[in-house]
Amino acid sequence: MTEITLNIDGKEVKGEMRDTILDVCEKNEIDIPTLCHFKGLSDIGVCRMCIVEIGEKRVAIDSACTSKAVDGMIVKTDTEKLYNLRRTNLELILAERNHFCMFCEMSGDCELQDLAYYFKLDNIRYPLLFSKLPVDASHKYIVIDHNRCILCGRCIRFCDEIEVCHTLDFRERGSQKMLNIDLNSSFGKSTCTSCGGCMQICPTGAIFDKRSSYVGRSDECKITKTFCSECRVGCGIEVVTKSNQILRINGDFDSEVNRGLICDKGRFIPLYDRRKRYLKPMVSKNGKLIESDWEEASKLIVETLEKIDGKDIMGIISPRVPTEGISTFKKFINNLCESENIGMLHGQITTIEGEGSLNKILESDLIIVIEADFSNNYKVIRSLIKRAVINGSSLILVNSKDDSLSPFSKLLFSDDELDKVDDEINKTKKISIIFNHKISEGIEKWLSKYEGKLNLIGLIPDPNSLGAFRMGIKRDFKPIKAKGLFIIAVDERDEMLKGVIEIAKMADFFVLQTSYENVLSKEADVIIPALIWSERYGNYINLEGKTLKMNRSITPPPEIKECWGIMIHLAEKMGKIIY
Amino acid sequence: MAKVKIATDWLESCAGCHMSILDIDEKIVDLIKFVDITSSPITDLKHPPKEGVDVGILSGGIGNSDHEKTAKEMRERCKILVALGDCAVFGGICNLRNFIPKENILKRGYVETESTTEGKVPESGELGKLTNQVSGVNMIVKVDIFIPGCPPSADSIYYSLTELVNGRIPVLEGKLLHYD
Repeated sequence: MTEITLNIDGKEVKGEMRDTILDVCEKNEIDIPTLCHFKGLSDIGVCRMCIVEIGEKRVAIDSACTSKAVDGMIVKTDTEKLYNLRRTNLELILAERNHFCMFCEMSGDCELQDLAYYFKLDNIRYPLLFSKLPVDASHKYIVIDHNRCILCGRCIRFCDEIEVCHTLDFRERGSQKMLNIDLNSSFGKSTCTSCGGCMQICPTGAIFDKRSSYVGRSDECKITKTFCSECRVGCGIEVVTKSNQILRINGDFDSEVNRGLICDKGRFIPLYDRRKRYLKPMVSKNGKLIESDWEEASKLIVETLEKIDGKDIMGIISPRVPTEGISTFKKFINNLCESENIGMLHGQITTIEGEGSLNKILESDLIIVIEADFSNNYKVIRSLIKRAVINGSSLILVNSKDDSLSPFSKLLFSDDELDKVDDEINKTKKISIIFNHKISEGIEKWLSKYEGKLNLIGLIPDPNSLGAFRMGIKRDFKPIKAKGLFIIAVDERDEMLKGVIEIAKMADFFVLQTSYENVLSKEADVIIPALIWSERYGNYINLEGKTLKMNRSITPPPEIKECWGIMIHLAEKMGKIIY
Repeated sequence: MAKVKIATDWLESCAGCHMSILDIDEKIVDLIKFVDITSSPITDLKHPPKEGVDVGILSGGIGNSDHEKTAKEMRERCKILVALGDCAVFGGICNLRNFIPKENILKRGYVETESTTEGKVPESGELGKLTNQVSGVNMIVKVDIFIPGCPPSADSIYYSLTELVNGRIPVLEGKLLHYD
C-alpha cells in the first residue's frame, strides 16, 4: 500500500492509496459528521452530511466518504460555510418526513437527533411536509416506520453486502423515494431471513425491535460482551440488559469471528422462549414431581448412586455446557461414581476434525458445500459463502439440501460423483470444504484424505462438543441399560432429547439436570434446575478451534447453580473432593 | 434598571409548558426582582397590555383562527417573541392531526365519540375555525427565540429568561436543549 500525504485543515496527515478522504480523517482522528456511512459497508454519499471543501484555487464541495484521497490534496473539514451547509441539509432532512422525538422509541439513542444537538438546532426554517407514510409491523420481530426513515440506505447495504439476502432496496426517486421490500411486499411475507442487521444498523427509529421498544435507553442499560452459544460459530454478541432482564441482543461489530453479523437463532429466538422453568430441585414421590430443596435432593442422589456399582452408572452431558462443566462432570462420573460410561447428549457424528478458518472462506477460490441445510442453522456461514462468491469464488454443491445457495453455485453434484469434485479440487489452489455433521461413511472416507490439507469446516449443531472431545469424552459412546443415570440437558429443545427418551425410561434411578420442563421430565426421579444460556459462563471451543470466553449477562435465581458447582457439592456430600 | 415586562399566552397547548415555567420553583422569587409578568392565561389579565411588553412568550401550536389572532396580537405588542415548547416551535404533538382530513377530525370529536348521542359539529360564528394544518408559531408571525422540549425543562426556561434580562439572546445547548 503506497502512503500518501494530504493537507487537512492546515495539517499534514498520512493515508494510504485506496483511501477516501473520510478514511484518512478517521485514521487521523479528525471528526466529520456522518449519517449514511458505516464502517464495513460500502459508501454511497446520500446523506450529504460529510461534505468537505476540496482544493484551493477552485474549491469543490463533495462528500468525504465518496471522494478518493489523492496525494497532495488540500482539504478543509471545518469552515463556517461547511457548518451552514451541513446545518441546512439537516433541516431539510428533518422537514422531509415526520421526525417527532417525543413519542419515538429511539429518542436518546438516535444518530439523527445527535446531529441536531451537535448543530444546536432549535427550530426548522422550512415548512414540514407531513406526508402520510406507512408503518409496517407485519414482521414477527421487527417494525419498519417509514415516517422516521432518512433514506440513508444502511439497512439496504447491510442486507446486500453482509447478510447477502437482497430483501431491501429503494424504489421511486426524489420525494417519492421509499425503502422497499422485495417487489413492494409487506415485511412479514418477504424473503427476509430475520437476521436483524437492518434493525441494529438503522441510525434512527425507522427500523426497531418489537420486543424491546420503549423499555430503556442505552445509557440506562448494561451491555455485556459475550459469544452466542446456539451453534459452533460462536458469533460475538452484546447482550443489553436492564434490571437483570434482557432487552435485546446485538451483533458485536468488533468481534473477529462474525464482525457484527448474527442470525435469528442468536438474536431473536432465545428471547421469545416461553417454556416453564425449574427454579427449585424436584423429587419424584408416588409418580409425581414435588418441589424439594437442595438438602433433600442431594442426599437422595448421593445415597442412591453410592449403592450402585460403577459399571451400571451412566452419565450423559449436553454439549451446550462450557468446558469447565463438562470436565467436572467427567471427573464426577469417572472418579466418584467409578464409571467409564460417559457420553454426549447429541453432537458430532462424523469423525472428521473440521477445525478450519472462517476468514479463509472469503479468501478461497473454490468452496465446496456438502449436504448442508442452512434453513435453520449456520446462516452466518451461508452469508460468508455468498459474499465469497460475489467476490469471485466458485461454489460447488454436493447433495444440496436446501435451495438458498443454488443460484450462487457453479456446479451441482451428487455423492456418487465425488471423483468429479476431486478434479475440480486439483485445478484450484485455495479451497474450503463445508460439510454437514451427518455425512455418510462414503463421503466421510472421501473427505478424510483432505484432512489437514484443505480448509475444512464442519457444521455441527451444538456449541461445545469440541470442548467435550478435548476433555476426553469419547465420540463412539455406546449407551448401556443403566441402574443409575445422570443426564445434564440444560436448555435443550425437545427435538434434541428424543434420542435419550428410551434410555431414560429404562433407568432405575434417573437424575436430570435441566432448565426447562421437557420430554424427559416425567421419567426423572430427581430434577436439578440448570442455568440458561444468558446465565452460563466459561470456555467454549468454536468450529475454528478457537477458545471463546463466554460471559454471563444475567444473574440467575439464587437457588440455581452452575453445573460444576453442583458436582462439587455432590462430591462434598460423598465426603470426597472432586479436584 | 427597569424591570423587563413579560406577557405570556397559550394556543393549542396542553399547558405543560406553563407548568414547566412554574417548575422553576423558588427561583421565581429572584426572577421577579427583574421581571414584571403583565398577563398570562393563569393570572387576572389575559391579554398583553396595549403599550406593549419587552418579551412575549407563546406556548402551543397554531390550530385555529383564534390562535392566529392571539399570535398576531402578541407579535404586535412585544419586542422579542419566544416560542416555548415543541408545539410552538414546530407544531409538536398537535401535528398528529395533519394526517387526517379536517372534516373527519370534527366528526370524530363532536359526532362519533362513543359517549355522544345526536352530536353536531358546532358552527357558531364566535368559535375559531380549524386551520387546514397545525403549525408552529413561526409560520404565522416572526419568532425570535425557540425553546424546544416537550416540555422544555424548567432550567432551560430559567436560563433563557435570565439571559434575556441581561440583554443577551439565549443559546440552548447541552442539557438545556432536548426534543422530548
